[in-house]
Amino acid sequence: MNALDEAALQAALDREAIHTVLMRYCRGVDRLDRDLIASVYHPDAYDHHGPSNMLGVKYADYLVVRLAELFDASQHRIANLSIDLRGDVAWTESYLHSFMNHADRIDEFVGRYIDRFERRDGEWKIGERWVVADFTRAMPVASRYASEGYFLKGRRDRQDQSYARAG
Amino acid sequence: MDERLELLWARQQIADKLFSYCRACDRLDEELMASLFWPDATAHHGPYRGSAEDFWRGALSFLGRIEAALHYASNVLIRVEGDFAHQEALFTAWHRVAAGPIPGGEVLAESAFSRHDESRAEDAVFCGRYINWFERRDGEWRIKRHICFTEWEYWMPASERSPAMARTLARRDRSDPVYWLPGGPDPLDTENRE
Repeated sequence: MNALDEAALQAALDREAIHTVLMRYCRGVDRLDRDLIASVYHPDAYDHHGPSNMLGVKYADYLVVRLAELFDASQHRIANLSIDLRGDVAWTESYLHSFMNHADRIDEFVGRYIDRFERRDGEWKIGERWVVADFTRAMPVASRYASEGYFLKGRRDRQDQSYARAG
Repeated sequence: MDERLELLWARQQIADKLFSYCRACDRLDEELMASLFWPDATAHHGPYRGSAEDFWRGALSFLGRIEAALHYASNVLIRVEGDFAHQEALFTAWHRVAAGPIPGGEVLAESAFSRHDESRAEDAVFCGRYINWFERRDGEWRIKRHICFTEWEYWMPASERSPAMARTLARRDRSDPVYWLPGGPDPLDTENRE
């Protein structure tokens, strides 16, 4: 493999690693998995997350308690992902569309994660995060989808199907 | 370059350009937008047919006259064939429109925005697809043909701004955090850090 190939392959691997970290965070907050959330931050990484502005690893502790109190279920979806790779640092923007389900309404958040990723000891993690809101919206729920009970129900603990690794 | 890596590289370039298109719409970034299209590119966007540049200049001018927008693109499907690539994505585009007429809105007679209920602030949500034909010239991928259409839409009264929204860092120019660079001044008040 020549130098150009090496560089292209490394860039592809870096991007894949960064994408995986972003997905891990989403699963972490939706399943209230403290360790998974904490795993996306370097130890000194700050998360500027609305009114809270704290170390990511501490934020993980706070989040799992707070999210459980605030609503019944959530889904954090990431689509547009732009990555500006600069050696061991990468600046990323990911578009976020999240749903927070309450008994009588669904809160929708439309915004972005702006992250500075850093590679330390070969591992990409968030070095600093800013959460940016472009829109928010609350929608009253008049009725639930009739066949909701028909599907496997998403859980907010490790009993969720995404953790299953056997049969 | 190894053929497999070349393909991977092409796909990344194309996805980057698609997401840059969304960013350019949402941050009203003309310079970024201009870098995405070939000079002879065409656009077929809703009722518009013509040059891509005329299209995007009109689109950015319109977006600048409403309060906010976010163009969310998922299910990105890319097929690369030599110097040609076909890309499809599903989009959800949120537009927040203030109560009252949209400034300069008379040009919108044919567009979906003519359905704005001027008695209230609204969120217009369009769901549809972007289909872009990319062409590679001198190693660079850019859009040669842009096709965009809505498959359905809904209009909803805008929610009150939540307290969290008052603190948002979102901007529609280069002061948005996505343009911050390492080594520059830290635009954040860091006194609140725990």
